[in-house]
Amino acid sequence: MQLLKQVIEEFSEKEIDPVALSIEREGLTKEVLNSLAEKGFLGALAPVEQGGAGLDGRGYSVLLEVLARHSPSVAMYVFLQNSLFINPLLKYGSNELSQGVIPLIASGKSSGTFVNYLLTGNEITIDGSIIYGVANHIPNGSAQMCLVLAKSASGGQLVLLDKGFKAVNDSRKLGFRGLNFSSISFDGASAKSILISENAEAEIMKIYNESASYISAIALGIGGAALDMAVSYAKERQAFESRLIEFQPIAFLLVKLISEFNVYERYLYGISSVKDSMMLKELALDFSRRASRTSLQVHGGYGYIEDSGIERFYRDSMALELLTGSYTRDRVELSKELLGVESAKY
Amino acid sequence: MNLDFNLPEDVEEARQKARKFANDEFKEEIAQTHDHEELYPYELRKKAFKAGLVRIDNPWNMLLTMEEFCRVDPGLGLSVLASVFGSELLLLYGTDEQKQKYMEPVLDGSKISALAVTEPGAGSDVAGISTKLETSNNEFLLNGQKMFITNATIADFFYVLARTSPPPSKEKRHHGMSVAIVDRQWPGVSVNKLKGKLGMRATDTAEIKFDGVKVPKENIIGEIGKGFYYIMTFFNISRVYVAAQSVGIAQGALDELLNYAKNLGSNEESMQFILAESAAKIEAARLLTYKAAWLVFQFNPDPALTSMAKYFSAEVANSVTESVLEYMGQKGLLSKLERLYRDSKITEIWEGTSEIEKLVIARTLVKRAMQGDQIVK
Ligand SMILES: Cc1cc2nc3c(=O)[nH]c(=O)nc-3n(C[C@H](O)[C@H](O)[C@H](O)COP(=O)(O)OP(=O)(O)OC[C@H]3O[C@@H](n4cnc5c(N)ncnc54)[C@H](O)[C@@H]3O)c2cc1C
Repeated sequence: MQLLKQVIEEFSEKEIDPVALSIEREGLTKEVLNSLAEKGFLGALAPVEQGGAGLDGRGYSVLLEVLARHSPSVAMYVFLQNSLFINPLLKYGSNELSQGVIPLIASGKSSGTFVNYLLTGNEITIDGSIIYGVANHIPNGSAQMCLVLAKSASGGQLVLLDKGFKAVNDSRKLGFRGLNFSSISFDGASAKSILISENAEAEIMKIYNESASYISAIALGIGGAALDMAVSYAKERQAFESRLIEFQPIAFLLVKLISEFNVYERYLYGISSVKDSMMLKELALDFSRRASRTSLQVHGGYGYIEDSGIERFYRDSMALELLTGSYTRDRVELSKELLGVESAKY
Repeated sequence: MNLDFNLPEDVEEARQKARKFANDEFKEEIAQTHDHEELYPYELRKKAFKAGLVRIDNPWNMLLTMEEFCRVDPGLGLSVLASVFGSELLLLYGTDEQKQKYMEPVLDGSKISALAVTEPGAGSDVAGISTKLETSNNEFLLNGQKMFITNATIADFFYVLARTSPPPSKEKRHHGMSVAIVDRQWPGVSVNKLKGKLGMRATDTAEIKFDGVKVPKENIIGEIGKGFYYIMTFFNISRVYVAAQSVGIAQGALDELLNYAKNLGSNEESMQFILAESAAKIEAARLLTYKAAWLVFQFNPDPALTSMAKYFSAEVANSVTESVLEYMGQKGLLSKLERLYRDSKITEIWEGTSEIEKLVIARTLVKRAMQGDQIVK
C-alpha cells in the first residue's frame, strides 16, 4: 500500500499539481482525464479484464485520499466513475452489459454520471422504459451515459441511459468546480437497460452507505492537505514579530485537528464493515470542514483568494457532504445501524 | 427604569425602507451574475444613494441598512455601502478643507473612497507595516505596497496608513505612523484587481503600489505620528458595521430555512432544533451588536464590547449558514444559501480577525480588572 501511495503521489505531482488551479477555473482537461485513464484510475474498481485497475477497497481509498489532497475535483470525478457508476453496473448489471460499458469508462472514451432524486429532490419518473423529468446540478452532467434512479408505479427503478437526454450547463456553485455541472432533462428518453426493477431506493441507499469510507477518504484528503498547508504557512508567516505557529490558539487548534486526522486516517485503513464506514463518514465530513475553515483562517486574507489554493478546500469540504448524502437520511441510516431503530422519524 | 428595546420610529422606518430596496433591487439573478463574474454594481450604488440609503451622518440608519442589505445579498449590499469606507476618519479628524474636498463628494455619492492599511507582510499586526511617507521639500513622498484593499480599483482616493518615522522603541511600535489622503490618479499609484475571492465577489478588492508618489502636506489627516490611533478609533466604529453584516447574513440563512419549513410543514425535530438554535444565536448577536453600536453612536465606545459584537456575530454568521446549508442539502446548494455560506467567511477576517478581537477583549478586560474598573460598559 505504501508503494501504491507513492505511485499516486508521484502521478499527482506530475499530472495534477501544475494544472490544479486551471482545473478549478476551466474544468478537467482531456490531458488530465487521459492520464487518469492511462493509470487505470478511471476504472479503479473495475476488474483488470475490463480495463480497470482492480483495486480493493483499501487501494481505492488511498487513491481517493491522495487525489483529493492535490485536487478534490479530480478525486470526486474518480469517485463518480467508480463508486456511482462502475460499482452499480458490476453489482446490478448483466455480465454482458458491464463488459460492454465498463471498458469505455475505464479507458476514458466515455464517462458516466448518476442521477438520484433522493438527493436532488427532483421528480424523475419512468413509465415502461420511458423516462421523464429534469434533474438539476448533476456533476459531470455532460456525461455520455447516465444511471438514473426513477420512480415507477412499482417503486424506484435503476436504469441506464446512453442517449435521449439533454444536458444544459449550470453555473458554477459552491464546490468541485473542476467538474462541469448540468441540468439534465429526460423527457421521453428510453432506457438502455433496467438494472433494478423494483424498490431500488433501498439498494441505492446501500450503495451510498457502502461508499461512506470512500467519501471519508476524500474528506480526509481535503482536510489533511488543508492542515499541511496551514502548518507550513504558520511556520513562515510572521505577525507581532513572532511566527504564527508560536501563538497558542493557532498551535492548539492545529494539534487538535492533526490528532483527529491521524486517528481517522488510521481507522480508515482498518475498516472492515459498512457500519465502520458510516461511523467514519459521520466524523470525517465534519472534520474536513473544520480543518479547511481553520486553514483558511490561518492564511488570513491570502486564504480568501483562489490563487492560494485554500478556499477550494473550504468550498469542497461542504459540497462533498451536500453532493454525496443528505443530512437527515444519512443520520436515519446510521440510527438504524447503531441504535437498531427502524426509523428516527420525528 | 427606562430600558427600551424598541428602535425609534424613524430607525424602524429606515429598516423597512432598506429591506424593501434590497428585496426589489437585489434580485437573485442579479446577485448571481455579480457573484459569478465578480462585477461591481455601479448602478445599484447610484440607486441606493438616490433613495437616500447611504447615510454615515445617520449611523443607526446605516447600521440597519447594512443588516437588511446583507440579509438579502451581502456582496451587493456591501459593495453599495462600503463606497463610503473610511469617511469617519475625516468626520473625526479632518480639516474643513479636507472634509469639503474629499468627504462630501463621497457622502453625496459622486466619489468613492477606500481605506488602505493592510500590506503583503502585515495585516493583523498593523504596527508592522512598512509603507513610508518621507518628507521631501514641502511635501511627502509615498513608497510601498498595500494588499486586499476594498474599492481600490474604483475609488477616487485612498486613506493610506504609512510610517512617517521609525518606531522609537520595541514597546512603542505604534508610534510614528500617519494617515494621508492619496488620489488614485496621482503619478506613481498603480492598482491591480485581485480576482477569485471566496465570497463577497461583487466587492472590488485590489493591491496598490506607491512608487514615489508626491503627497502634499495638506493631505495628512490630523497630527503626524498619530495614525495608528486614528485607525484603531476608526475600527472601533467600523467593527459594529461588520457585526451588523454578520447578523444580516445569518438572518438571511434563517429566512431560507423558515421558508422551507413553512412550505414543507416538516415536523422533523432535527430541523426544528437547527432553526431554534440559529434563531437564538442571531438574536443574541443582534442585541450585542445594537448595544455596542448604542455606545459607539453616542461617542462613548467600549472597545471590548465592540470586539465582542464583531467576533460573536461573525461566528454566528458562519455557524448558522453552515448548519442551515448542511441541513437543506442540494436544495440549499441551488439557492442563495451557498452564496451566504461563502460570503459569511470574510466577517471573521476583515477589520480585525476573530483572533485579534479576542485579544482586544481579553486585554481590555484584564486591564479593567487590574484597575478595579467596571468590566463592561
Ligand atoms: C476581501 C477582503 C477585503 C479586505 N479589505 C481591506 C481594506 O479595505 N483595507 C485594508 O486595509 N485591509 C483589507 N483587508 C485585509 C484584512 O483586514 C486582513 O486580511 C486581516 O486584517 C488579516 O490580516 P492578514 O491577511 O495579513 O493575516 P495575518 O495578520 O497574517 O494573520 C493570519 C492569521 O493569524 C492570526 N493571528 C495573527 N496574529 C495572531 C495572534 N497574536 N494570536 C493569534 N492569532 C493571530 C490571524 O487572526 C489570522 O488568522 C481585506 C481582506 C480581504 C480578504
